Amino acid sequence: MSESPRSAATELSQLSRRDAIRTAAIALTAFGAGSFPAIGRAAAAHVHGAVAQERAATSDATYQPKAFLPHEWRLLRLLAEMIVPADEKSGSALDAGAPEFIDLLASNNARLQRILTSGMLWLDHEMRRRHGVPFVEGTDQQRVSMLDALAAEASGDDPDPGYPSYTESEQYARFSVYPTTASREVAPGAVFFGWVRRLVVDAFYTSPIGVADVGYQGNEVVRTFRVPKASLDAALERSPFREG
Amino acid sequence: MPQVIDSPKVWDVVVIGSGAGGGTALHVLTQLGVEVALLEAGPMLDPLRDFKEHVWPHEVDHRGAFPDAGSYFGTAPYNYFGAPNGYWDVPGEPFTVAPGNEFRWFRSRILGGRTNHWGRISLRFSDYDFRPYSIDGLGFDWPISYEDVAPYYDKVERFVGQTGSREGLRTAPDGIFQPTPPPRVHEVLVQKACAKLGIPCIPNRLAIITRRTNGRAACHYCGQCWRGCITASNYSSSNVQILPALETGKLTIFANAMAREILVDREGQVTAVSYVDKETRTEQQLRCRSVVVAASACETARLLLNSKSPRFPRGLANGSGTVGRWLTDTVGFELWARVPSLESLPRYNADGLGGAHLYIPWWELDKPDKDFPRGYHVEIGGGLGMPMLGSFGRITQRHGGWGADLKEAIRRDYGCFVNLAGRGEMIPNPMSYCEIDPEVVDEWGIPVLRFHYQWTDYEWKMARHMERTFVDIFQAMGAEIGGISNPGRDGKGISVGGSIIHELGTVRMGNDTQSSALDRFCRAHEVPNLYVADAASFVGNPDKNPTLTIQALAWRAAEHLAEELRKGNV
Repeated sequence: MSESPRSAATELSQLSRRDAIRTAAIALTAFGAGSFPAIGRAAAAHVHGAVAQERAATSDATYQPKAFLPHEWRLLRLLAEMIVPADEKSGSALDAGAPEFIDLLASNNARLQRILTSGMLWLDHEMRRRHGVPFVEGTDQQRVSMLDALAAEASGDDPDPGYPSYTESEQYARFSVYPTTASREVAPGAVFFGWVRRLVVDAFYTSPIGVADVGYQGNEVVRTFRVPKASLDAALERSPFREG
Repeated sequence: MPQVIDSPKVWDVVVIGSGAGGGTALHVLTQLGVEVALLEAGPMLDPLRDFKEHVWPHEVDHRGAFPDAGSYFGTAPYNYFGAPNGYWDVPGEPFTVAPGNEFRWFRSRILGGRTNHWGRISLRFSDYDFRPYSIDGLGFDWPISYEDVAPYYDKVERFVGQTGSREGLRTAPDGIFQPTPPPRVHEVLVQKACAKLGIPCIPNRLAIITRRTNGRAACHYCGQCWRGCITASNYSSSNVQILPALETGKLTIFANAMAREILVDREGQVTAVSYVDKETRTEQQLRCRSVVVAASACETARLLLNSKSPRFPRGLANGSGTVGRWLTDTVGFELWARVPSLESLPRYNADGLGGAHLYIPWWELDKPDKDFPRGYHVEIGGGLGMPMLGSFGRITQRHGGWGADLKEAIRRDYGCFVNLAGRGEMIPNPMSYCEIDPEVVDEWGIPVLRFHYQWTDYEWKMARHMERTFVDIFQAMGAEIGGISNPGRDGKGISVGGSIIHELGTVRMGNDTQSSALDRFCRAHEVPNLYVADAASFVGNPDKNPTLTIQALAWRAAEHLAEELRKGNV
């Protein structure tokens, strides 16, 4: 069953769930209040301005970007949709409000804005050089091969780690899974792509859609912590500790 | 008009600092009817307003990055969702590091200090930890034994509450425990790998209550201890000791009050504490019969060194010259691995306690011919945590792609990663100390600390032992070894000094007045109405996190002080 795109109704149900959690937490506290009566009473005020802020994070076609020009906004939305597309299980990074999240941060951080807008210029230039059209006007195949080239060189999570590399240990060299970069042909674009991918992934998986997609089940009030046998068995079956 | 305004009231005790030491001391003192003034350098805390427990990232428009994207550029002052006001850099309050040295200093400026967001790992020291010099000729013996401290471990554990199981291990003395919940799936795999290797892996000991305790509700297993707990189901001095102590009517809190100097009379007795009121930028004084300093080990040393007088020209209680010396931190090193048998694990709520449900105590105590002294314990990380900013960076990095494939990889690999963190004992060395920087003052006009810090071969070799052990455990689990978990901190092969946030030893206790500053009750040899209640008093830094011992020694010191007050000795 398709669950996408998530709507305002879903977001509201998430809110209700959060309130239920909080109410339960308060109830627990009140039950065991003893010498802490102040906590139970004041908990009702524990709201953190959530509603308004959540509204701001939802995707909206009429959204007016603060950090990007219209052509940049179209490009950013396209990249977001390509990096985390909708599938049979969940919606896309657009549904999760990724462009708006990125716009908020870029509009308050000139360095991030420059990384993104300069990267967009580089990307369109490279697309014109290769295919004669800017990214948004390329064919699916052209856009896919362009992103594949960038991804092959993107350093991933932290484009500029700023710490010394670890070389003391032989084990590290032997077991490291980090890919080494051979070509640097698209390096400027790769840095840009690393940033966009990181921001889009973060925005998607911190949204209610992303949380549901990976199946995180916590942030609840639980009376007894249990590990289901099915989960434990699934891991043990595939582990070196399988019995028999 | 005098610059310094004198207060006519004379307090029984001024407690300086509100973390585990100060909180415990004022709890004990106020329970015994002693009137206490607390100086806290940061603001008051309202847990219900300030703790972000249960808030989802999507409930905040910046998702936790801060509106200026600070978390992406290393400029965020703290983790947005974490309990407030802990910083690697406190704005306006610098410290310096001597050339050729490296040191980090994590300070909190808020009621409760670092206990609001600490890891809650609560381990008793072992009998041998109090006499290490007698055993291997390194470091120093304490002036007290395990038997002296054990009754206070009992008192703290009964009042605070903590998880654990009775194991009968000499490296992990048993205490008064509440049940630890069952291990998470990845922790079971670590435990089975350890069993194969002959390494113990036992229920964790955390200052979290799993049974209703002294009026506090039992843990509700949201795994968010680090955000601060609105039901006070874990230990923070703010929630468990200080706010309740207000109800005794014996405690008065002076917030945003940065202790400046401890004043003494001609006989060398403390008479008052001066502090900077940060809100009015004025210097004020509290007169008192006694002082308990618990500002955190280095801040405590700084305050004493800055309290110079004709009687104490090298700083208060520093006739021995040891104040600031013998600074240690814990030896840290961490590796992560990807565990294929955890791929696409059937989902469950794995939040549990705000910390691992198992841990690995030291297991080679009796092994001969090790190439380093002492030992370490291992902390386990991993699981199906709440998706936060950066949660899937490692999967993205490993996958290296984008689109539907990446989405599928994240579903498969979510919860697949396990982290092992070694936490070991550093031998005190003369190259590691703090002193007053002669040239720099903070924004309150108070001279700042300058740090010197060096690891020796002992610690480097221990870190390599950690690395070999983690590789062995990961391989026994069939895991793919990834790399250094925290390259910015452990990237050189050992943690940067201070970064494990177990800095201590700077005002140590001892029987010899020439080589120590405090007596066996953490009272200054030279100043009978001055006590230290934080980890500055520690003589060594065993492979057990310091908080439980801070609490136990603070409890012991406070009882001693209360008795001295009752007898009219101070």
